[in-house]
Amino acid sequence: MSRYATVFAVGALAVAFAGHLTAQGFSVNEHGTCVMARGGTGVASPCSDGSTILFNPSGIAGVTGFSVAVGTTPILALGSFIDDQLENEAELQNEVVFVPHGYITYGVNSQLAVGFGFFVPFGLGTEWEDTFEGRFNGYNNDLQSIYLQPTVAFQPHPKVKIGAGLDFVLGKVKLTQRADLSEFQAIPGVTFGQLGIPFHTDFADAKLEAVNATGVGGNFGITIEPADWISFGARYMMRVKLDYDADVEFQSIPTGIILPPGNPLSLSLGLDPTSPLPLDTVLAAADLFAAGGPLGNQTAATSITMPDQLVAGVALQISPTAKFLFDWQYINWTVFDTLVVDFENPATLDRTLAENYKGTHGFRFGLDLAATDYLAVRLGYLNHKGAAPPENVTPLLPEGDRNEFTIGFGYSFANRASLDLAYQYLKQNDRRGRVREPVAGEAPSTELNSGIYKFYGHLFGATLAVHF
Amino acid sequence: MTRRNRLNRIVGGVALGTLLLLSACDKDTLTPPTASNVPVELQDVFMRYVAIGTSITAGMQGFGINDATQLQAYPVLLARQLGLDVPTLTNPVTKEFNVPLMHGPGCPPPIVNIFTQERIGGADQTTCLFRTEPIPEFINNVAFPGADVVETFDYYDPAIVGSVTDVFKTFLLGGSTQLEIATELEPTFVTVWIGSGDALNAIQDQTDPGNANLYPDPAQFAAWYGELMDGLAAIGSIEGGVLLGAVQVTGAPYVSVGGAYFQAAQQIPTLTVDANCLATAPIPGSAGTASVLVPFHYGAVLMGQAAAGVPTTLDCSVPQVITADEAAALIVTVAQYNAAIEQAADDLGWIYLDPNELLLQLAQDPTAIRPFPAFSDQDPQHLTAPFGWALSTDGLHPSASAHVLVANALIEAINTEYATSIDPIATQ
Repeated sequence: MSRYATVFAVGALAVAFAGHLTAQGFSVNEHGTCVMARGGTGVASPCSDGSTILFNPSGIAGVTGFSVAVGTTPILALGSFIDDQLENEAELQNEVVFVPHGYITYGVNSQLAVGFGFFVPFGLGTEWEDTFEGRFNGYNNDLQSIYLQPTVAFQPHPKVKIGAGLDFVLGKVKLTQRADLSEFQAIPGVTFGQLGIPFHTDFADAKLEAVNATGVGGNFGITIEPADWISFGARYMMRVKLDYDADVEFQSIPTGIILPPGNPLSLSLGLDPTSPLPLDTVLAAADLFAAGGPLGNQTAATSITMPDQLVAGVALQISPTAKFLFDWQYINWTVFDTLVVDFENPATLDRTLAENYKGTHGFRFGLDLAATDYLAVRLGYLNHKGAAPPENVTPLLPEGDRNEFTIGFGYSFANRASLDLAYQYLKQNDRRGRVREPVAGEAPSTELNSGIYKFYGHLFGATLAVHF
Repeated sequence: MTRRNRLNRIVGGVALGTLLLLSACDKDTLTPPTASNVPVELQDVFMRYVAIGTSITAGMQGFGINDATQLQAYPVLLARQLGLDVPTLTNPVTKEFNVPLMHGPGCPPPIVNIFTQERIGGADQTTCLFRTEPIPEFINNVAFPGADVVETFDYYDPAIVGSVTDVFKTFLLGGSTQLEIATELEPTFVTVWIGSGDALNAIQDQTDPGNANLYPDPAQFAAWYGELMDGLAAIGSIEGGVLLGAVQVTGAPYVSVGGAYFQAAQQIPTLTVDANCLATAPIPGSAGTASVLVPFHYGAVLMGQAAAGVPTTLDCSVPQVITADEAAALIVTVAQYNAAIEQAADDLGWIYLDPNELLLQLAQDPTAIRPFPAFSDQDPQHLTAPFGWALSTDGLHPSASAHVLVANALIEAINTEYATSIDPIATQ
């Protein structure tokens, strides 16, 4: 197999461009197996696989020759929701997803380098059974933001490197949820719930899907190396707003409810009050799902802003074979305050989900040990706070404070190629959350929380880099 | 400092930091319903309490129902005394015990004056403001007004006679039966007060009250009750319960003994009460006797005419009056209902509570239960509590004060059975 074939074989692992939240909010931080093995630290001391294009664009300054790296991070996310009332556990149904990354770097001269990277720093995938109590908030959701970043870096001083990249962002989103008949108006001003229809009665399945959003941002970095045993680094990635033009499909779901004789609908509709009334007959007669109806297929517009990130760190060469790294990361999740879905049809009520996310701080620790001239052993630990406020922990994104542990290895093939492997265990603190939305017009509250979200995951990383 | 020492310090710091961070993990925990007023070892028994029943359990008062009357009903009072979080008017949804609240003034609003039929807020019998929002995720009081025993698990049995209260099957339960909703909630403790509604049909009928065709025979009742019990047992989560006997509805002041009208006639010259209204009949299997009973909906009209100066005669041989024999048969039937209920309680190892003991006790106090017609214009309560303080303005359903007594009777029974010391509710 030629080295090119090897490169593309590994790249083929990234067949599914799907991400899953593994860092704060719906961000993903595993975009290079070497950095992943070091607990996500890399801003002050880049790995040689080109991932510094993301982790600190200045890091490519000083590289020589031409390098290509491709890799993927298979993520197995596991979780569940346990409700207070019956203590029943509904498990997350996520399949293994592969988060891809790829980098090309080229050293123009000893001071100037250029590169190109693609990575998925924001991704969300949550899939629940369609019988899960939280299906009315969303049961099959997918959000991916693929960044394509041409980069240039310059070393104006032997101890200073600067770099910048232009991010072209491609976004797609899918939100799937059930509609609750009890919230739907039976007559103006009166919901079916007020007529007695039970809470969380399925009557429609709604799927919103958009694949065409684009945006532009930037990623800037600096590295300062005052001595050979210490270096500092920082990067700032701009926020990117993605406007989605989505197709929305509504599908009728039979309620199966047969109202007994004497029900108020028969009385108000002038039907025989002594006969049972299948509720689905009433709903079908209302033509809700017809073209032009409030639940007819249509388009909708929504926007999601990928937040800006600021990372600063230090790397200490604490022995000839050991490097200690520390990164602090801030993600400005305050930009994710509401999720508004503006339907094309005025008869369809627009939907506004209050998110009110908070800015988050993450702390990452890494240790990079040179076991031999060709073998590196890496360890890491990271901790970060949750972005979702306690009143907005929902099936869409049941995230919270996390601790993650990493271990990995890197092997260099005579400095012509390198293979990195890593494993990461993710443990999110159990967090109370909700499976219902507040009444229209009211703000979410922790009073709506009705159970515990559990979340943990296993991540595996593999990156192959080839140097020419 | 050597690099080795530096490494050791850094690694040590990281390890310490990790421990501190991990120690802060998983602060959030499940908050299942907690019957906080019972001993810890019994909290699992009472954590999910479901009340099955009819209009009394649902909280009907004054031939109306609203959120206020629902919150005065004994299931809410009992749940609160058990230590469960119960709804209020300002906080209508809880995570531990919920009621399908009807928005005030009600659906229909309760009667405030039975003689004028005036209802709360000046509303009429067709007024309905539907359910209060937000609607709860689950409901614990699954009773609905008008429920007969068969209707706790079936809405389509040919034996079910249509009624205006059937609308509550939808308003309160969304078309599901009480058993279906209870099954979904997987209760750990239940109270079942059903059977009074079956008997009540016999005295509320407008054309021929007392007719034996209006209520199920004891064998049929026992079969239906047994089916309900089988359904509850099949849930598999119930650890205990209280089965309350049916009310001897002939004792309700809504139906007055003919003698009461006879006495009233002494004060109203235009009212004549025939001697047949004084008839009595022996109650089989008992030393007691039953009297002719005049339902309020019939007798009150005559009283109104007479009071207006129109010469009026009450003839107790008409079908609108319950004969002494019919009353005796009804009393015996309810006693047989209760024998079946008590047997069911024994079979399940649950508590049996006969509410008639409490009602008989109250009947000894004329201010608690006052038969109609009683002329007490000097009594300031004669309009607001025409049937006594223990009855609401309809003469059939308990008042808020009587619900407290029912709840206390349940608490006493639970304390005896489980050796708990749940506080009774203070009575006024």
